[in-house]
Amino acid sequence: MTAPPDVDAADRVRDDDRDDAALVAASVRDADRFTAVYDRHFAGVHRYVAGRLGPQAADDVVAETFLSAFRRRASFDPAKGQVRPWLFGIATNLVAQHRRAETRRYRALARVAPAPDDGGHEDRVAATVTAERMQPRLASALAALSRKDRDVVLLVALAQLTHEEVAAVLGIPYGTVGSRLSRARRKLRAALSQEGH
Amino acid sequence: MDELQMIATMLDEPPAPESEAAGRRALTEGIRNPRRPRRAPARLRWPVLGGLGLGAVAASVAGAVLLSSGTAPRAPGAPQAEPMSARTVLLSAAGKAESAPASGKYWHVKTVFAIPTKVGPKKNPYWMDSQRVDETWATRDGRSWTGFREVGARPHTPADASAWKRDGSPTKWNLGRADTTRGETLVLSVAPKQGGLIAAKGGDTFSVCERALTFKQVQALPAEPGALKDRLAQYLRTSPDGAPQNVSDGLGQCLVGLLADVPAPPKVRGAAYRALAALPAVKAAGRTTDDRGRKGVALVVTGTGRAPVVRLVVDPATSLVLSRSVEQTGKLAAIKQKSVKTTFLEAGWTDAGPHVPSVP
Repeated sequence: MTAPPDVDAADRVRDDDRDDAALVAASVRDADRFTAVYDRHFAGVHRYVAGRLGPQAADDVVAETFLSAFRRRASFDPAKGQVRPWLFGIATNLVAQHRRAETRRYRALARVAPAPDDGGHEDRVAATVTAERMQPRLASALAALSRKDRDVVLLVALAQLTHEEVAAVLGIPYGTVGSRLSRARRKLRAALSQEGH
Repeated sequence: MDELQMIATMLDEPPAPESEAAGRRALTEGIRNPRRPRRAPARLRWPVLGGLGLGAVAASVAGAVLLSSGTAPRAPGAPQAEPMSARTVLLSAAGKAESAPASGKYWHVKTVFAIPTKVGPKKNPYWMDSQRVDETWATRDGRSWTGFREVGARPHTPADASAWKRDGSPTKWNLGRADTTRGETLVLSVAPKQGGLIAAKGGDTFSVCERALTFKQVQALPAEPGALKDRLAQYLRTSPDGAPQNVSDGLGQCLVGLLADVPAPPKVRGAAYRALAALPAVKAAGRTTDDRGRKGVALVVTGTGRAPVVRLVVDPATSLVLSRSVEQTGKLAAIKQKSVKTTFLEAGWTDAGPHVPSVP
């Protein structure tokens, strides 16, 4: 696109949020408008759910997320938060019903053998390889987190929600988000730095 | 890379191409057939439904597809059975568009263009549609051909047909001298004329928002509804004729043009349908048939001020536009010649090469 430089990206974001809320409000009377909500948020919600449950289970859960949001669109309250976190909240509740699938996924990721170190990489490649080599530990550590801590970690890491949004999604105080996140990150870092790294 | 980024990298699973379409189908289905909210206590519902006939209750509980315009009385507290608007159907057409094949040598569009022309004696004037078939063929490397043929006039409306009969059903009308340097005499006839075929020069064959694009540029249009809308709005703002007063008015027509006239890739067509469905100016007007009796869904794109009203008939099964009429509003409405209609007889990829159009 050859659009002029974005002078005030924040304004655009606020516009998007207003559009989102307006779409949901409009869909209460005109149900079809809700498909626009889907178009805007499918990719983000899918990324989050597929990250936690794997691609197969994700398709159904994502579809259910939007259907569920559609059915309760009348109760969406823009004063309580934006559409994006609202959708992630619904998705998180549905993910919780698939705890076995989630655990299976992390176990599978933990079983992947570390990539052989053939040395002499460029920096960028090295970073990827390190991440790959770390994967079994990281996946096990993630599986070992409490569900509450894991929700916070993944809403931040995968859904890229702010602390404020995570608080709204999970219905917990703002400060609790920070404390759960730092506790979880401590555990994850500890797992990564075990033996030889 | 910190541990949160590592987690994001490790868990990244891009959706399969069919996931998004499948999810949208599920949602569209859900919109069309809203289920009873699971935990709603039934005892609250039955008493309010008491006044309704048993059939109505059965229908709404089953989540039957209602084709009403939403004016039918609905019991308060009854499960919400939204009427299926044509827009829902249209959004599923977007899904169809996305899976349409794009194989063949030529992108081919065959249309009938009708302009009303006033004829007849002063005490019994009536309107005949002057009809022209236009056909275009375009190859991926940018060559293109245009075929054209006057295919004979026919009455504009049934009322005009009666007036024509009263006039003795003439087959030719002298329209006087043409306003050209040659000043030839114009004759409107019910008989088809011989047509012609012209090979076009230059590669920028396709017009989108009055911007001439090459085949490659059409293929590179954004396949995401928001980005597509932005691009078209940008074309409008930088139009050689000057930006329209109201860009959103123009957008509806641009999207329609994109769907009807050019070989946009399936994903772009899908995005155009979605963008169109999201425009507040687009209203669904239910099921209908076009002039040729083909079944479709009517869409009305209204504008602000003096903008014309565009009526579309779309075939939801194929996502193809069947017809497009542009109706003037306000003072311009009196000038019937400015309200024109295009019927799309064929649109798609073909191996059959350019030829002088036949009479449909």
